[in-house]
Amino acid sequence: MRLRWLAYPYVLWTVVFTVAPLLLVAWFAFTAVQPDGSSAFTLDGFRSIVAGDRVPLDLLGLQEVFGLTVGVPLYVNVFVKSLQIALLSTLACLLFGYPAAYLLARRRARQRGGTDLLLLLFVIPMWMNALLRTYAWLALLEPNGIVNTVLAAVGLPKGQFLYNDFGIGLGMVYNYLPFMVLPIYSVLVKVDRSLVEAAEDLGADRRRVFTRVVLPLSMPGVMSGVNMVFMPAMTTFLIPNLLGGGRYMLIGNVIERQYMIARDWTTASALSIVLLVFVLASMRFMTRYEKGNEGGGVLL
Amino acid sequence: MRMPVILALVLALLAALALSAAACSAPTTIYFYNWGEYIAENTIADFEKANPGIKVSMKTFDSNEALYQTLESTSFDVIVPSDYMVARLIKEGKLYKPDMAAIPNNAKYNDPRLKAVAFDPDPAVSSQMFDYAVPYLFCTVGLIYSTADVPAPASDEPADVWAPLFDPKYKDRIGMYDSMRESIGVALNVLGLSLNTVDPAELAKAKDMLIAQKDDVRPIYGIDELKDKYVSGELAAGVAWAGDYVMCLDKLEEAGKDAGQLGFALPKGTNFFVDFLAIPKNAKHPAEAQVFIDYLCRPEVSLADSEYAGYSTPNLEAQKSLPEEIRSNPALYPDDAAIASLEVYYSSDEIDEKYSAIWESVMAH
Repeated sequence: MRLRWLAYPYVLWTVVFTVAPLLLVAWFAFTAVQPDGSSAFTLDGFRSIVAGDRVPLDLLGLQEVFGLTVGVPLYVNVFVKSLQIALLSTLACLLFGYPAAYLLARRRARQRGGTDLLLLLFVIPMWMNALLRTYAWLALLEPNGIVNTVLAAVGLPKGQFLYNDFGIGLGMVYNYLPFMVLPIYSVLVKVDRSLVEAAEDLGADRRRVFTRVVLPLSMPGVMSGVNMVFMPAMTTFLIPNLLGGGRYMLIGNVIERQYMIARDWTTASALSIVLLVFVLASMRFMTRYEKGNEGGGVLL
Repeated sequence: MRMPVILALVLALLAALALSAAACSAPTTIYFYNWGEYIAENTIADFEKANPGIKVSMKTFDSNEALYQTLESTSFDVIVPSDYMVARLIKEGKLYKPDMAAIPNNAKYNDPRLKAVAFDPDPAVSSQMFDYAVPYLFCTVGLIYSTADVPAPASDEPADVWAPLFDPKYKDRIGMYDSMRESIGVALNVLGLSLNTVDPAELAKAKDMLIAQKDDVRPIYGIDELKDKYVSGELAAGVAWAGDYVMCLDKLEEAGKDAGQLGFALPKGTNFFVDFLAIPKNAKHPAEAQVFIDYLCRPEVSLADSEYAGYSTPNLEAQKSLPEEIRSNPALYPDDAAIASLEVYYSSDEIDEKYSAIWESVMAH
């Protein structure tokens, strides 16, 4: 308690860099600059989100499988598209990331200390700027890039890898995979071996040990991994900017363009608020789920 | 680059630093606000050598709108607004009226035909353009195409010239500028409409055309990144400023490839624009700014800047020293008939709002 003043710099930090900018965004979302230079209250920002052109909802399989065409406002469609690609990328990260984290944790248990080369190799790309790493994919996947040159050399047809769902999804999984692996890994290495041994002693086979002991114990790591991937995937504009050929728009790009190019700060801020509320709600949902796993949480 | 507020702060800080430094030494520093890569590398150094009393400090911007915003908060001595921005600044009383007698090279060398162009719908503003500003370089908007993939346009009718951009045959291989005026302009030009229309029905037609293009042809949208894609052959055709075409030719030459790989065609009624040198009203050293502008109008300087930037020079004396294939290319140096058919962009809040709304919804589709 006597060291309470130590927290002041962080309070200041939060106020200056989190609270104040958020209030500014909220202010811009509800005001518009009038011709005479003053600001006045308006809901136009939120109205223009749902106004826009009506376009067929671009939800996976909706048109192809069910033959349904649902007309929605343009920005709602962008929002749904972003949500969809963020969820798919998160799922892909989980499917690739969990086994990786599991293997890394197993190696760690066997090695007992020391730095794991495999883990190091996993982390090294993160020392590089995300921009550069993503540019590298551009050189690889371009229509006349390295991959297509190799494909053509061995007589296979060239593929269109960039500027579409595949390219964006790949960029997301590649960039965010470590954010999934590391939290799961750090939870898994702390799982008490004796719990696993106890389960084995009581006659559980390997699958049962995993599904009934290890997996539940690792859920907090999974949840924080999901959070750490889903949130940047939902809001990114860097990846679609670089790998989307300028024609792939996610909600982050739309907000960026409204601020920077169209200079419509009211609509941009309104979109940001909607996105923020959505992300906060999904976070709340996740943390609640995490608390439901008290069995695992207590031991960690 | 896209953060005017931060940029302005940084500029203000730099300006303050430079000013405090200047207080200790004799030369006057003038602040030059220019487009990126838009002046030959040694022009400023040579100018400083020729005029020891004046130093030039250059900052760059990447759009007229960014220039406009920064002018509010920062004082520059020489700026390079495009024609429509000059008109806007004149209307708002933000330009200093230079003493043209102090810029003799302008009247001596610059193409007088430019004075006849209606740079603003209001003739009163248009006639003042050359009292306030001096042409620096100019450029046309046309079709860049790979001669191996795309046949040369059958005529200079807009529908013929721009046809490849809307042809699904070139799916994924078309380049469009992520710039509302150029891209909407292409559609308006094909439809035979004015590039400055504000008629909702006409604009709706252009918008539908661009959305259909996005669905069927799936163009790549960008600005600077497109050049490499034309050079590598990734893109078959696209809308391009003539200056970008010339830079692509340079890149082809650097790569040891045949310059004939890329062609450029100018449709009737397309856009052309002139970038001007002007002095803002809040300039601190207008007299020195005039000396600098006059220097930039010297034929050998204008030639070097034009060759560096790839844009056309309005300096008739400089044009004589250009390589024959550049000077005789009607797309780069349009003849009287072509100039008469070209249209400049006008700027107003109504145009900005309507075009921006259309472009943002095309991009979000």
